[in-house]
Amino acid sequence: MRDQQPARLIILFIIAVLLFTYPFLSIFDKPGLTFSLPTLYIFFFVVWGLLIALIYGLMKQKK
Amino acid sequence: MEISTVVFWAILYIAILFFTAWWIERRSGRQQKNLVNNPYIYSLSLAVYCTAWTYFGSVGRASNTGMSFLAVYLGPTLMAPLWFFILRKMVLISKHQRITSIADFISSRFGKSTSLAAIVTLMCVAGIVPYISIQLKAIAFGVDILTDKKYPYFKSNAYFVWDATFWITAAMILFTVLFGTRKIDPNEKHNGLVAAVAFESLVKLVAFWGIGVFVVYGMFDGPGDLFERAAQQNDILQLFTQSVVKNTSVMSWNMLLLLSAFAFLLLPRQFYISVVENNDVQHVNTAMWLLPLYLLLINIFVFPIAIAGKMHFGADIASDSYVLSLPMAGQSHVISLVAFIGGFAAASGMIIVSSIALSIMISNHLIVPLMIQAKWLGMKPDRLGLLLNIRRWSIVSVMLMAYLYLKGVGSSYDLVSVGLISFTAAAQFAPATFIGMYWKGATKSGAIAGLLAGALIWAYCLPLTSMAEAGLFDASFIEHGAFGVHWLKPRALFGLEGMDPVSHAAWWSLLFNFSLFGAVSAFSQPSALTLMQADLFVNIHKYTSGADFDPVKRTARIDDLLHMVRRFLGEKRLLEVLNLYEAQNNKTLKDLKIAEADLINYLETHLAGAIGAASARLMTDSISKEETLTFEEVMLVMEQTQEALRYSRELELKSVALEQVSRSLQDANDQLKALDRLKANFIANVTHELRTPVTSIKSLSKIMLDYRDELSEEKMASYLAILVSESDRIGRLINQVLDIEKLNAEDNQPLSTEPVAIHELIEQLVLGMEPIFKEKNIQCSYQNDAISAQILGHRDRIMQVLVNLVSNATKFCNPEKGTIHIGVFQRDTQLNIQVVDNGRGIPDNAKDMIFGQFAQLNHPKLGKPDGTGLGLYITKQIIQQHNGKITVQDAKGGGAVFTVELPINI
Repeated sequence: MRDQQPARLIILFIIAVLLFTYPFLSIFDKPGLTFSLPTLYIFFFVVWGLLIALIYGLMKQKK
Repeated sequence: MEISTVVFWAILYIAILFFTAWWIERRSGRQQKNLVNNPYIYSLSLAVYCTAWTYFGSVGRASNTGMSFLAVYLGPTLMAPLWFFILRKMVLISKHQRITSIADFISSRFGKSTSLAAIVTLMCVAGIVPYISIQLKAIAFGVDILTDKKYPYFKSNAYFVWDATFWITAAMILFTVLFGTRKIDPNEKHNGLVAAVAFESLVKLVAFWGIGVFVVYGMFDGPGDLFERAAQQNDILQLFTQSVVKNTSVMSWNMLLLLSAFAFLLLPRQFYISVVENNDVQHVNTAMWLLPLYLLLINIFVFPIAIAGKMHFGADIASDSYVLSLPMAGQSHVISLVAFIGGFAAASGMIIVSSIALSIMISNHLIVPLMIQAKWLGMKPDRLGLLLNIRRWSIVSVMLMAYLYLKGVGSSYDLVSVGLISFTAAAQFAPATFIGMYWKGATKSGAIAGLLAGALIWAYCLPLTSMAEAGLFDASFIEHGAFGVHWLKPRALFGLEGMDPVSHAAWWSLLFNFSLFGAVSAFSQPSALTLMQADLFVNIHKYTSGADFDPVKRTARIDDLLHMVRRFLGEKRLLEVLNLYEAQNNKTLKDLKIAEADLINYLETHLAGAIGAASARLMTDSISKEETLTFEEVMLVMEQTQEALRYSRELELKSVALEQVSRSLQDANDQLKALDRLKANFIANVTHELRTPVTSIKSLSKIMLDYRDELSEEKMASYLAILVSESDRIGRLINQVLDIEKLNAEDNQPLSTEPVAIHELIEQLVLGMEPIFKEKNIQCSYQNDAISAQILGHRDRIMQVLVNLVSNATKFCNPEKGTIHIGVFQRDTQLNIQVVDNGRGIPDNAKDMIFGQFAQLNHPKLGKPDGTGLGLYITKQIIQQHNGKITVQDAKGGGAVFTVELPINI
């Protein structure tokens, strides 16, 4: 079967770059709290965590 | 807090660090399991990225500009999926080429250029030394806060022994020299050092969490409480967003992502830890998710601490100190000390690894090349110690430079700014490194042009301007531009305004760097060596799988080569390396006089591990001869790709092969033509020979038919006798032609052979010919000196040879008193059979001719002899089939000697 891992990693990279830059970022770049925490703070750490989980998943998948 | 308490804990921490490093080194010295060869330790050691900047500076930045500090950690995280390609490739290349630093990497890619390595090294020194100095400052600053600034030792006007920063520097030097320069070949790995760095990463993470939990849950009622209270204050609420949402901050954010993504791989200390000290390329796979996880964890409390500090202190104290000041304000000595030790770990990890990385570059790319050029390395046997000392002194001088910079300049600006200046410097290596790894057309001129342009803009816009702002020299050029040229204003170069200084400098320097790198590369020709290295970098997977190719053929005297390498690696290591080479290549070097290119290349890469690729190249060049480029190699340069070369090589080989084939076809054709001619001659001869007897038979028969009544009985009988003899003659001729055809047909098949005793054959022959000898009154003698000798042959054929020779002798010997002698004797491995007659002999000019077809000697008086002229031809064919030869000489006292030589069957 064709090795899809490189392509998946590159697509993940592109999506992550789009999520963490403007203009997407400006959606969450607002004063105020969500679940008692700053909205942008929540966004950063949740998406960051998801990104790490996805890299982990992609790297564990093989072997 | 008392100074003695702080110093005690600091020394205890350093002692633990020493012990960790020492214990790991001792284990690897005893060949025990290498604990450092582990993906988790590798990932932790990569966290040397988080320095005092992360530890103290991020909080400071967050309290001023909100969450923009996160870009520095999101950059590497975003890049992490691509490490699978980029970082792994860097590691593979560096292992293959024994690369020791980022300068070495770039110089290796562009033909092991000494000048390129020196440029990169100088940029690193200029970019990193201030960064090291600010880490030293952070430690001293920490001591200051913990002791409430009660002690005058930490004031900036004290120097050396009176200054605590000096002692911190000294401790760092000691540790770095002890654990960073144990071995000369950085590919030998400094396991103790890596373990210590990983340990420091763990300490700073745990310490930061300690502070975070203490502040958020001890001083506040959890994060909800903290942020809800903070949201009430309008100035703090501002920080919940990316500060001011304008174009500039968008630009800064993007630029910061890019710079940190580059810097994570290209900063000298990052390159050193992630590439040079890498034990296994598979560890990258783990680091790809574990390092981002570490960055996430260490950053999760930064923003809450910053907000808490802002609420607690307002604008009273420097925000860089919140990490220490908050626990102090919270009245917790333990947490304060933990915070201090964590900061100490963050700063010292960076200082140690950076100074090692810089010292390797300084010694390998500045000092050693200079010494080689000045011939200072001389011919003394052992240079290993000297190299280690150069490296040690480089460490000392890097640290002292950092110390002096701190005392002289550095106290004036903050952690993050200095860090960003060095990030921007490191980012200048990105075009040459990353593009060079994927684009073979990149040339040395392009790399030099790009780097120099980038370095110039960087130096002008960032460090020079910062220094001028700090009051070191006239700052008027900031307002008015250098030389009063308004578009040279360092904060608004070429009229580009409205960006923050770092983004502005990064934008222009990378723009020029990238453009010049690409454009100059596209318009210049790489040298053969650059091309070879380019192929190696771009197609590293091909080389790690075993294939190797070197267009520049070098040779050197092996004594010179070994002598040189021994001086840098030492006798023991050299022997190991040579044994490995012999084992890998199945060669013995013992009796070799001249070293071929592959041995030179092999030793050069090992030498590169000690003194860097460019220096190693210089050293080997000094003792080796380069052979002129061959046609194919010139083709290589012209075609720019090795594929083209391989292709043309194959073509050439094929055309050579084709030429050979056509030549042999031509030969075969010539042979066929000659054979055809021979055949035609043969047929002409045969028909001619047949016609004579047929004519005489026909005419005699006609006479007898026409005059059958008149011819006497006697006449009739003599005519009939002639008819019989002529018919015999035709019969013989036909038999012999059939023989020849048979011989020719068998030419291509192996003869069926058996051991033949010549002696038996001759006796049989002499017996059978007895009546003929008697009739012709011939004396036949036979002598055999090699009765037992046998040959391997076809019995009937050999018999035919003997019959031919002996019957020829009977025909041509003296008609009155004929004698024939048959002699057999052995000479070496040959059996010689001689048949001697006493006839009129064979004239010299006919000796070769008689073995041809239809060769008959016409005697002026006696005319044509009796026979077909094919006997000797057949004889020669048979002898040749038996790998023998036949010759003819004059016998003593007239007559001919036919000698047959046949190999004896042993």
